[in-house]
Amino acid sequence: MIEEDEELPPPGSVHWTGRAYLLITFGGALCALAVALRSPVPLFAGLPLLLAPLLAAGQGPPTANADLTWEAEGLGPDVTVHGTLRGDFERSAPDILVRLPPPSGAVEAEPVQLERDAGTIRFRARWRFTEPTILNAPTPKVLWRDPLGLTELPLGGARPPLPLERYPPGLRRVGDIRLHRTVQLSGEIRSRVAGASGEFYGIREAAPGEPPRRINWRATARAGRLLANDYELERTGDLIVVLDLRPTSAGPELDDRLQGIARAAVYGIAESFLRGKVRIGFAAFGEFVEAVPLSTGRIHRVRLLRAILASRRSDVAGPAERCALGLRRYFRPGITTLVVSSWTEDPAFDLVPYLRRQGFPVVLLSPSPIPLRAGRGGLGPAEEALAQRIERLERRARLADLWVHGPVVDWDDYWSLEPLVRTLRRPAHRRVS
Amino acid sequence: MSAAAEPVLRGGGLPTAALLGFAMGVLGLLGGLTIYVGPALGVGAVAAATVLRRVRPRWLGRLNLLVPLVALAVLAATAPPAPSTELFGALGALGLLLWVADDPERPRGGGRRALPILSVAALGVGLAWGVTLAFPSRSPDVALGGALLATALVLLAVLLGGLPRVSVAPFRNA
Repeated sequence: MIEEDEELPPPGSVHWTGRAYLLITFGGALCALAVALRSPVPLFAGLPLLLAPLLAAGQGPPTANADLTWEAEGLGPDVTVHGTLRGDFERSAPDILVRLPPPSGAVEAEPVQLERDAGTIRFRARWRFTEPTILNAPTPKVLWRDPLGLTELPLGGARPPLPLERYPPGLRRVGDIRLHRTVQLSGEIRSRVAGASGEFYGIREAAPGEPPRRINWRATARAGRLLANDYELERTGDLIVVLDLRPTSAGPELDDRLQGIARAAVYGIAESFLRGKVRIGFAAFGEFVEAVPLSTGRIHRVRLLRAILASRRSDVAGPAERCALGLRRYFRPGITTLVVSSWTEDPAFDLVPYLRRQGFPVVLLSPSPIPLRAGRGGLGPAEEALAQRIERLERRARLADLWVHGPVVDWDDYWSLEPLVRTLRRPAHRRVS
Repeated sequence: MSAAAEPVLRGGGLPTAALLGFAMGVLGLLGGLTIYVGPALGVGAVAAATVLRRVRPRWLGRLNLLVPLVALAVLAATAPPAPSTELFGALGALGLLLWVADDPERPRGGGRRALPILSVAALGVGLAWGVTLAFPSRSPDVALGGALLATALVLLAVLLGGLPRVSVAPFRNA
């Protein structure tokens, strides 16, 4: 979860609901009717209807703030959000409503469950995402509404953001892979960092409290003072992930969805490799390259998450050469480069040959638009299946041309990235369907 | 993006519906419509609204308030001026507010929590009805004047914030 300063929105003002306006209209009409008919009965009937909205406006909750804490859990497409609202509600807890619409691309698996107590309101929402995504959950709207439902008051308080990262569950294992193609020549990077394990590096003066296992006793005996061993920290290869944000001929709507899926995959891959202490670099390419340099650790994870969340479809498509040259400014060649791009038929659009020419060994992960286009042609089930099959074969045939530059993964089952995992695990095995 | 799910409806709510049905039925009985049409209109409207507010989709159910409001307006407009019809006209409106507070979409105890609002509205109506009843003349103008005076007094009190709030029992988890 991103650690950010909690924003504290000010509480809103009391306002009437549609029901209050309805009562006022009928109350006013009854009063007018009473005067017109010179009969007090409509006036007696209209009097409470007129008074109730005014009286309700005079009511109010004991507190105008409700502080939110929430977290998300789940695997794959399912997500469960648990949240707690704390405030000095006293007796008005039943009159506090929590509106939590599902985020874009998700459907509600079950209605929001609320548990109210004197000082806390706990809620639980279950959503199911139709495709991998990474976004901040929409902030719940917390309202106080009087018991008659005539007036509302939006409550303020802390509303921390809740990032939702849903990506294929198989990506959790991708971090175990030892990346080999990290320099111009095959092989792992030799670490420049000395540490407590790995290959022997040298001898140094022992520090106070040095563990006995680390002491080089033979060298100590020779030198007559305590000396300890240093080791080169073991490290697997580095990885650059390039996210292609250029607009394609598929149209903005489809581009946004495909790039949302790509963002989720990028984050899933980065997070998984970061767990294995791999250094990850990230570059987003729209019109220009925006990069996060190679690094690892928890802070880098947050940095990457922010960069990925901030990356949006570019209105202008930059030339592929610019991406390759821009990448050279941030990263040294030879590092395994994963390009996530919704590939189009235009050869000038392909980043792969240009990156390859600049010395980056490229793996292309291409989210396929075919599943997103399914059912849009107004075809019957049989024709739809046939059309999809033909389209898939055509896409495979075109993607096959890119294999000369590096492995290509056609990603059409959005909740599985097994082909990519296999490709990274055995890069020598070129053709992976 | 899908729409937010419809809230879960809880059971209950029949006592307030019965109370409203009784007030509307008596108003229909005392009113200007025929002996069968008046009560049938009052009770039927309440029954229809109670069913309607449990209907899905909820946007249709939210129209439930219109039905008893229209019925109340018709019954009040056709009722002859008399202390009993004035009283049941007011009780019908108060019963309607109580029925509204007992919303199946909201936690139980809505009527109890609405007591601070309903009691002040009832006070205003009671005051108006008391004024009209106390006068020996049964002229409709006196009743009208009394009701308007009471309304003005209650509104003044509300605006000045001088009305004491009625406390209710501490809330327990439903």
